[in-house]
Amino acid sequence: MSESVTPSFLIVEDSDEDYAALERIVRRARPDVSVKLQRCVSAEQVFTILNAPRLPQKPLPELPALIILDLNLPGLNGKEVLRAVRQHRRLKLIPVVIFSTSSNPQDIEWCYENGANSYLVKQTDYTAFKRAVELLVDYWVEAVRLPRPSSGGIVLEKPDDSGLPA
Amino acid sequence: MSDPVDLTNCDREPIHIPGSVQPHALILVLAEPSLSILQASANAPERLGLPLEELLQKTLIELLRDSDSAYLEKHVLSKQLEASPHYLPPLKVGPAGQTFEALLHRHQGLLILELEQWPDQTSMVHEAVYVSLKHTLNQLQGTTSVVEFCQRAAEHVQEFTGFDRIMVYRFADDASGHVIAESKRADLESYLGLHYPASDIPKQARTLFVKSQLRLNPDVKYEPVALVPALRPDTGLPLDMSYCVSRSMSPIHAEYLQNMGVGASMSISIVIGEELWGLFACHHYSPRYVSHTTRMACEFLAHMLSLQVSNKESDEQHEYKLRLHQEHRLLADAMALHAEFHPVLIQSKGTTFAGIEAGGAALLLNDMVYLRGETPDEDSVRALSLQLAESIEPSVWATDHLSKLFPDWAKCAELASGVLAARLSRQTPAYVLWFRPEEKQTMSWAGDPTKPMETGPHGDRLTPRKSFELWQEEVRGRSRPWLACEIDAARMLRQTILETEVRRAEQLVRLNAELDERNRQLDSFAYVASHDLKEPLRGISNYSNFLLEDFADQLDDQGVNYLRTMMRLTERMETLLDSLLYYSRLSRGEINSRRVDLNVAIEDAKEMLIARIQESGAHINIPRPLPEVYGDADRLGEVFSNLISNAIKYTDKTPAQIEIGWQAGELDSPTVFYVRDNGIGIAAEHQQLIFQIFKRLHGREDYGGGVGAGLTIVRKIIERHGGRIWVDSLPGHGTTFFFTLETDPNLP
Repeated sequence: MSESVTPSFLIVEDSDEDYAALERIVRRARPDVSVKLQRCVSAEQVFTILNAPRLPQKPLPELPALIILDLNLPGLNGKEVLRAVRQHRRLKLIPVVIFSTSSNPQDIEWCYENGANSYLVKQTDYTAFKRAVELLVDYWVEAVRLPRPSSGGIVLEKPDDSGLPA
Repeated sequence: MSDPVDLTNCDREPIHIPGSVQPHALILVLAEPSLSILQASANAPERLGLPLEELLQKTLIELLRDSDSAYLEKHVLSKQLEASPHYLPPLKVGPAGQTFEALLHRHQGLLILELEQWPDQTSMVHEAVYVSLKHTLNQLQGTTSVVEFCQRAAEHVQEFTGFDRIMVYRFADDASGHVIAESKRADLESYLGLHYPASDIPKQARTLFVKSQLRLNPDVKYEPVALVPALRPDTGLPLDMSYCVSRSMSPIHAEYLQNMGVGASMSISIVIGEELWGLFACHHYSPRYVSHTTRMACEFLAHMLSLQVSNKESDEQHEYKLRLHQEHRLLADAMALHAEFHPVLIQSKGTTFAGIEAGGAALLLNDMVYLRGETPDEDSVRALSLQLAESIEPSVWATDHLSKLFPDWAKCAELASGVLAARLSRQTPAYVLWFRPEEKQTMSWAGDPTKPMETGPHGDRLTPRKSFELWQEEVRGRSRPWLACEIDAARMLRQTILETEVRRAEQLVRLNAELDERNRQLDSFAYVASHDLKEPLRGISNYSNFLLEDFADQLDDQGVNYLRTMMRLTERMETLLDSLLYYSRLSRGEINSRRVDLNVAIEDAKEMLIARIQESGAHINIPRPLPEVYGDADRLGEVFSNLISNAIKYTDKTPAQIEIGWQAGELDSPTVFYVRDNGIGIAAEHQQLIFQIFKRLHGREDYGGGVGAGLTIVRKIIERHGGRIWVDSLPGHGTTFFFTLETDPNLP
């Protein structure tokens, strides 16, 4: 990952407390790196951001480098978001990390089958929770190389009919 | 009669053409319209005072006085004479000028004149008969039942005729007879209630009873008087004497009566429609003649009886039918209100079911036998229904002679000679049964059966004593027959029961579907609830940690302790939620069944528990290898690890002794596995509680802690495998958990 690029995470999380914890841990994990955090509280909100049309004279909304997705959302759940992202022509390149309370093997299996890149279980035990988030940051910020961020020039298309819900 | 007659051919005895008359009467057979005499009984010449040759050349007119011939021509011969004999006023016939009681009928183109004479013809004064008849009819009007009606009639016939015994004899559908009313001389033994086999009155005799309403044998020890010539001169055939009152009787019947000690007999048929309903059987123990006037009164009475009986009987049947319908209505209404029919039936009133008259009744259902009234014992009823299920095709079936079909059941004849059965299922023996007792059917016609007549004039086999034996062999174990309306009532009850059951089954399917849905909702509720509960819990835990991380140096020890307690509580709550989640996942998830070597499953479980086993020094003993089963290896391993860890936990002995074993099931029952320990045991009153989720019997920190979900999960796993688990325990002596798994037909 290029030094000049600020990593940006899209965190899809409806719980303020969980988001606060995530944010706190992410910030503290790498005080030296400023990670750009964007938050959505529902699947619908995700779709609005991701499907924003190109407007003349206006910069395109920046696409995140990584999506951290909670499965349990109000309305459409996280699984819908994962499926929509994976079926979208451009978005499908963005890694999706599931961060869920559910440790149900069926949920885990489903997510990997549908293109999730990682599956983390939110632990109630703070230490374990913290460790998981720190690992996540370390891994996706430090260790791996992400696809080029889609800002500047990459125009988002209207979603396919079969893709994102309108 | 050319062939010898015995019991094997008496049905074929041509009793309508005996070719002879009884000696108290003489017969003149006349051609029409000349009234010339074609045949005469051999006693005619003497009685009439004319040689036979001469008689056979005369006409009837020539033998009568003018006034009588005029009467005859005007009132009788000009009319359509019915075949049944027409009573004429007393006639003086022939040169001798003797007075005869006369009867005339036309049959097969001939006129047949019967002239009777008896030394004492005044068995009753004419006027008295009419007065009495009128009185009788008034009395009969007032009776309510057929039996009472017949009883009154019998008394009146006795009064009219002076016979020693009058019986009203009722024929059943099978042509057997039954004495339903009797009027007799006080010193005579009663025959009331006795039954007689159909064979006592041969078929052709019954036909004749329908044809001629009254028959009189004033002296059964008579010499028959032949007809001369023996055959009809116009056709060359024997004279058909079906309608002749004085026709010579069958020698078998004569012997039968004589063996009974009867001197004179008379029978008056009770015919309804074309059917022989019954008879007045009149016996006298010495010769006795009945005058025409009296006979006319008796015939009239019998005729009245035919008309009334049919009304009264249909009334009686009608009332019974109404009652049966009423009973059925009550049961059907009650069954409509209840999910199950059998409590309704069992709690219904009376000693029978559905108002069907019987000695007792039984309901056989789901291996239960409910008895009421007089029935064979439970085992017999069970065995009988098995036999019926095997051999009786119709769903509703009745017999009045069970032992005839199934000789083994003669042992139950006293209570169950008659059986009415309504089958409720084809798969299992399920029946509603009604039982009727054996009816005493001893033939005592011959009086004292210890005084046998070894040989009669017509051969050994015809003697009443022998007949008596034959009869007894034939009809032991017989009950009152079942009426069509009773069989209908059983059919209706069966229909209603089956409809109730269909309704119940539908209801059950619906309830099961609802239950499935609710269980599904409940599981999904447990899943969602515990899942959602974790979020705030995590928040509490996280924020407690934030506090510690950021403000630990500003808090005193107590403040830090409070925070640590909060965190410990969240951990505990998480464990509870995890157990709940796991439990609900067990209920919803698939069980991945395959062949499982339980020995491997146990090794895996021991592996998981290795630290605890080593630490506690527990001994795990497996006396013999466990069999292969069909199931989910991981889940079954979990069962063993839970049970083993419990055995290690709940003990006060060192070391804990644990035995894992199995017992092969007998027949269809499954193999029973067990895990036995020598631990602290479980008090009887707690043995059901241990399987409840989060139910703990001990303090939280005692015996190694835990949330109390292990056994609930064990039970759920076993239930998901189609088995069950139970516990046997003695406090202080240890506990044994037993469980089964669904037997799989593919495994030995």
